[in-house]
Amino acid sequence: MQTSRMLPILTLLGAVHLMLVIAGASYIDLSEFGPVGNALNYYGEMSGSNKSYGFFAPGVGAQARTRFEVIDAAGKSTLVSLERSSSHEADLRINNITGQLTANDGEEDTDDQDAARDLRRSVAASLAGKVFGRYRGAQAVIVRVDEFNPVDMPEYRQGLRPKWEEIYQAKFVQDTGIMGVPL
Amino acid sequence: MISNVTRFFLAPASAKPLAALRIGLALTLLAQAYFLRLEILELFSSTGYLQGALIHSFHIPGTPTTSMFAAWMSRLSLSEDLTILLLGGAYVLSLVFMGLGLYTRASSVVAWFLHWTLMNSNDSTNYGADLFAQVFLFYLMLSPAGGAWSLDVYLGRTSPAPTSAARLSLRIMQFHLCIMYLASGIEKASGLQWWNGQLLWRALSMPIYKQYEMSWLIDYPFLTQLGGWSTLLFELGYIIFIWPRRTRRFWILAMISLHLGIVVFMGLGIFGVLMAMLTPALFGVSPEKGVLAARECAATTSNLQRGLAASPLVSSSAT
Repeated sequence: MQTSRMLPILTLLGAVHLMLVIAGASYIDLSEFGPVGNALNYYGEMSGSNKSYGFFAPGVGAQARTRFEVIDAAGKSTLVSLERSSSHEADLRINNITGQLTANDGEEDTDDQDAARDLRRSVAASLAGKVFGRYRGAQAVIVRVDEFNPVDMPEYRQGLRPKWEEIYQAKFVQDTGIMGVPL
Repeated sequence: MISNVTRFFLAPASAKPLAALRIGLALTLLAQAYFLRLEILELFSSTGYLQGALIHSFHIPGTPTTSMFAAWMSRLSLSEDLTILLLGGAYVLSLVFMGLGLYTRASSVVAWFLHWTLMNSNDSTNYGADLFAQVFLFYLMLSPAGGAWSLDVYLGRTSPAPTSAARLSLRIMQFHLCIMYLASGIEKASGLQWWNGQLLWRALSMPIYKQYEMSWLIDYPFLTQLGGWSTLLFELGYIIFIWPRRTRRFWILAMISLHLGIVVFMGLGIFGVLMAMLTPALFGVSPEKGVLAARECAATTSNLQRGLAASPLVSSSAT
C-alpha cells in the first residue's frame, strides 16, 4: 500500500534522473547552474548520470606508452615498463596512469599549461620512484614517453608504417631528484 | 492512452531481468577484482604508482575516497595499506552476497558505495567499464533486484511477487541504455573515421588493443567500412529497434556480437563482457513470464480456495 502511494513520486524521480542522464550525455555542465546545479552534479557523480558516452568517438587518436630506462652503478641500462602483464585489465589501468604524462597537452591557457607541466613532472617523479623501488641497484631512471600514431589505409598502401616517437623524457637520479627536462 | 502509459511503466513485473543484471554484474565485477588483485595497493595507496600527496590530485573532490577511510582508520592504528585491503575485501564480499541475492539490498548498497569510493580514489585509472558498473550498481541498489533468483527469495526473506517497482526500475534502466547508445552513436557518426572504415583499421593497429595481426584488412577495406557502418546502425537504431518484439531478438544478438567483438579483437575483456550482458539482461529476460506464472498461481489458488470453501469441512475449519 505504502509502495503504491509512493509510485507517482518514484516515477517523477525516475523521469528527473533520466533528464539528468540526457544532460550528462549532452555534455551539459550542471555546476554552472549555482547551488542546485552543484547538488545535481554531486548526484550525477554518485549515480553516474552525469557521464558522457563518447567511446572511440569521433575517432581514434594517438596512444602513449611510458618506458623507464634503468641505469645501474656500472652504467648498464635496461628498458623496463611498469606493466607486469598480470592481466590486461591491470595493464590498461597502469597505461591510463602513465597516460597522465601526456594529458592536457593541448591546454591554451598559460596557467593551465603550467599546471599541466607541474602535474606531469610530479607523475614522472612518482613513477620513477616506483621503478627505483623495484630495481634497488638503479642509480638513475629515465622516464621515456612515446606516442604511437596509427597510419590511415591510403598512407599504409603507400608504404608508410606507424611507429613510436618519443615525446617526453625526464631523468631522475638517486637522492638528487630530477636532472633532465622534457623534450 | 494514460492507462497504456501507466501499464508500460508501472504494471507489476517479475524481478527476473533485474536479477539477471544483478548476477551478471556481480560475476563480471568479481572477475575484474580477481584480475586487479595484485595491483590494488599500487593503484590506490599513497605508496603506489602515484605517491604521497600526488594521489590526492586524482581524487574526485568532495567524494569518499580510500584516503579518507585511511585517515579515519589511522586513529585505530591501522595502516593505509591494511585499510585499502579491508575495503577491497568488503567490496568482494558485497559482490558475492549481491550475486547470490543474500541480503540483496544491503549488499548492493555496500557494493555501490565501495565501488564509487574506489573510483573516486584514483580517477586516472578509470575507464568505460567502471562507469557502467557505477551506473548499474546504483540502479540495483534502488531496485527490487532480490525479488528473483536469490537466496533471499529461497529463504523467504523477500517476496517473488511481481511489483510495480520492478517494472519502473526496469523501464528506467532500459531508457538509460537507449540514451547511452543514441548518444554514443551520434558522437561516433560525427567523426569521419566511422564512415570511411578508418576507425576499425586504426583501432585494430593500436598496440594497446592489438590482439592479432590484422594488416591483411588493407586488402579488404569494405570489411572495416562495413564494421563501422554496422556499429553506427546498431547504436543509432537501438532506441527504435530494441522495443518491437519482431526486431528485438536480432538487436540483442547484434549488441552481444558487437561487444564480444570488442573482447576478442581488442582485448577489452571486462568492458566487453559487461556491455554484452546489459542488453540481454534488460531486454532479453522477460518480466512477464513470472507475472503470468504468478497470475496463474493466484488464479489456481483462488479457484482452489473457492472449491475448498464449498467443502463443509474446510469452511468450518476456516471459520
